[in-house]
Amino acid sequence: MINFERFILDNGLKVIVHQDKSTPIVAFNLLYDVGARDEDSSRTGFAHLFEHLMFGGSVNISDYDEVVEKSGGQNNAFTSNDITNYYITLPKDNLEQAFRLESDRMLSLAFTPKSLEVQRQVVIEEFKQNYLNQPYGDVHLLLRPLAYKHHPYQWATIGKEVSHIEDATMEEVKAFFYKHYAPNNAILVIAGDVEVDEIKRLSEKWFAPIESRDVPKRNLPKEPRQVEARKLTVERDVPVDIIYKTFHMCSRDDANFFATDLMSDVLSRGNSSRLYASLVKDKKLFTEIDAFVGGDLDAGLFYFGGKLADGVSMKDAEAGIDLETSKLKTILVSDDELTKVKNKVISAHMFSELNVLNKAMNLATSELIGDPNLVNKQLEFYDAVNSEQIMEIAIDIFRQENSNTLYYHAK
Amino acid sequence: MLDRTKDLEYKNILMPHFLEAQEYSLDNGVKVYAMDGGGQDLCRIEFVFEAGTKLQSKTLQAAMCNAMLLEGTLNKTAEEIHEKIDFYGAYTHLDVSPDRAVVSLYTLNKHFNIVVPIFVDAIQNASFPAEDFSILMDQQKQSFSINSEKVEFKARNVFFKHLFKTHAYGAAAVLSDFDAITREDLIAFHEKHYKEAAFKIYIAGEIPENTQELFNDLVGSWKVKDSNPIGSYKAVTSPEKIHIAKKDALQSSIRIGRVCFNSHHEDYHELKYLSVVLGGYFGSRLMSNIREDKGLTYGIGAMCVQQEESGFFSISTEVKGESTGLALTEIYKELKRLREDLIPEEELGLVKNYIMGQILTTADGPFAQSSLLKNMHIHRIGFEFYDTYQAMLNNLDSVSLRNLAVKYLKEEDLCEVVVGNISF
Repeated sequence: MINFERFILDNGLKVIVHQDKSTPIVAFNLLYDVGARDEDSSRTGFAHLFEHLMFGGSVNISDYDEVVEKSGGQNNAFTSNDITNYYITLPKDNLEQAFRLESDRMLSLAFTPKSLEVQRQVVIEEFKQNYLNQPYGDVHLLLRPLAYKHHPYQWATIGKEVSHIEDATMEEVKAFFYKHYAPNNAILVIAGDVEVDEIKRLSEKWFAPIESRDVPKRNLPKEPRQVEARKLTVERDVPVDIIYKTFHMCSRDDANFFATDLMSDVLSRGNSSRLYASLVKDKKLFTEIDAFVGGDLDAGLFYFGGKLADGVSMKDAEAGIDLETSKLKTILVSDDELTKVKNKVISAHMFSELNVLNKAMNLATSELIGDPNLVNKQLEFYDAVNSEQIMEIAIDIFRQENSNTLYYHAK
Repeated sequence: MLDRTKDLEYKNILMPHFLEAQEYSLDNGVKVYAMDGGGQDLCRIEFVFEAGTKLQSKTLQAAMCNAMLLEGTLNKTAEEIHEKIDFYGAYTHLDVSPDRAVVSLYTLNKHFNIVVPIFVDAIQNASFPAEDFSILMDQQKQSFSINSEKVEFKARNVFFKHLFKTHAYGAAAVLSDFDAITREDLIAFHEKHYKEAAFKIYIAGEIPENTQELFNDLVGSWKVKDSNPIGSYKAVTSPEKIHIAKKDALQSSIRIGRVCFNSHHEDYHELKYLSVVLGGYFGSRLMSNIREDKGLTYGIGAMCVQQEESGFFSISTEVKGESTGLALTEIYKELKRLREDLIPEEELGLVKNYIMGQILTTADGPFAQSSLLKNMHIHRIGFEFYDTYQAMLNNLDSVSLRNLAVKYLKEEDLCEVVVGNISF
């Protein structure tokens, strides 16, 4: 159980405080409600490039990292298709340094041309290191545009192509900042050995002077219901054939999300799960195979992805996946099996609560989804899932016309 | 009016409060270290065996043996073991390093008495079923061939092979090793290093009352042996430059470094400190120069790592292929600066604070402290080590650090490995 208090500043900044007296470390987590889905289709990779620029100095503080390091802290950030999240963990005595740093970045960046030039290069190297110069690194660059034709989930956070990053101009960077980085578009969570009154005081002192900004209401194109199976075959210089098959599923705030997530656990959480037992061990079609939900906030994808065993054809491998989805559509998951995956979720949740930064991030995401207390209530939602519900979802999403399959062949 | 331009005072970072591990011996002498707390009704148990790769007589033996510990006994199939562990919401983790093999269990306390016996039995009585062995081998062989495509993987293996020419720390598998290893090799390794074992147990969390009793029942009659003798590998330098071309590589992987020593050597802590200055944090010299100034890489780091019988210093990065030469020049320039210029006071202080903050994080709570203690024990030290650490940090001076760089970080003493674009 995570206790918290929540308040909102006049400028719209939402602040959540969780007290945990057992640790000398405080987690300071600032989530901005902007991700790759908010990008223009001709300027993809921008939210992520921007995350890098946030470390290039703010209006009054030239070196962000130096302040964190002098404070004995550590910091990082990540960008997803939905959000951009910045976090610092630091000794509690130096907590105010985090308020100073993050409020100054929210106020305004330094926007130096040098920072843009360098981070553009760094991001291009990141693109190469993680997506182009890695075996299978481009899988998600291929899967997204296959599954999405209208919704901006069709590109990955790194962007569609390197040229979008290469061509970004300072004007565009500034415009992006003032459009999305604003107190009324952010959620601040502080977790650690802190008092709510003190956090109120520090929030008022550092963040309240920042005026709220005109953040446009998000209005993204909905992905129309897919009516025909889509397939893509590629050949690459890799040692092993792999296959990915995805199905459109519900959004993160949908009542069916928890059952869909548990269904992926039935298929592939732990070594006793179905895909391992049936497709790896028994039929020997794959050496490894996973099923998982993407976890995107808008309507997302349910993934299957596996490495084919030597000598197995794509056709047989796919038939193996189809066999497992058809079982879920026709046979109810047994009570024992359902209890098993619920137990796993409960214990994973309890272990994750050992860490203040995890708790802070979970609170921030829950607030964004619509209710900070979701962090606590989600266990009840998982517990309430029944086998009939899983079967209904399987029938609804595991249809060939709802599928997108990537056949990734070794040359 | 709020003055945002003014620096806030940086508060001193104090050493964390180290918990005292409750320490006891089981009937057969196996030592248990219990770190109580955490506030959640769960715990983590780690069995730390002297069964690392350095003890193997054949490549892959230690790693495969470790990977198959939970895959069946004469009485239980792998399915039965995993089904139970999963059903009770427990998680396991297997890990092997050159020095140790670790088998971990994460469990809720309410299922402690059911899960722990299954876990212990699986490790002790592992029977290495032929079918599970062949599945694992296929998996590992595939992963290996995929990893072999990565410039970073290749560079790392070549680097350690050249650093540790006559020590197991330099051993790396090749694809044909996967065909040479047999089930019998694993059984032999298990007999020698697990069935008759030198091991310690670490437990962290809200520890159930009956733990000592249960451990004694399950582990107290396990056949044990004395710790293996500890060898040492002298810090010889092997200053080769090895450049391996990989066609069409967009990035080159670079490794530069040398063999050094572990924390029992008088220069270890200062050399480790130097590695942090050079490339141990985001604002470090290598990151500032090669990433933040020139944009040649997504990341670059330096580290000084201790091993039970030795230690090494290494710089590693993946850089833009066509700028490999420039990156090398800049890395050596930064090393030269360490040898020739004094580190400014402000930088000295910043790095000290950074290191203190890191200690605070690595010692945050009973789980982290249990992990820390486990690692310290491998190097025959304990938390008393930290009694003098802060004073040591405060006494560091830039002259002796510069002398140390001259002693250990001369360009002609360092091994250089580049895999990728070598047209420079």
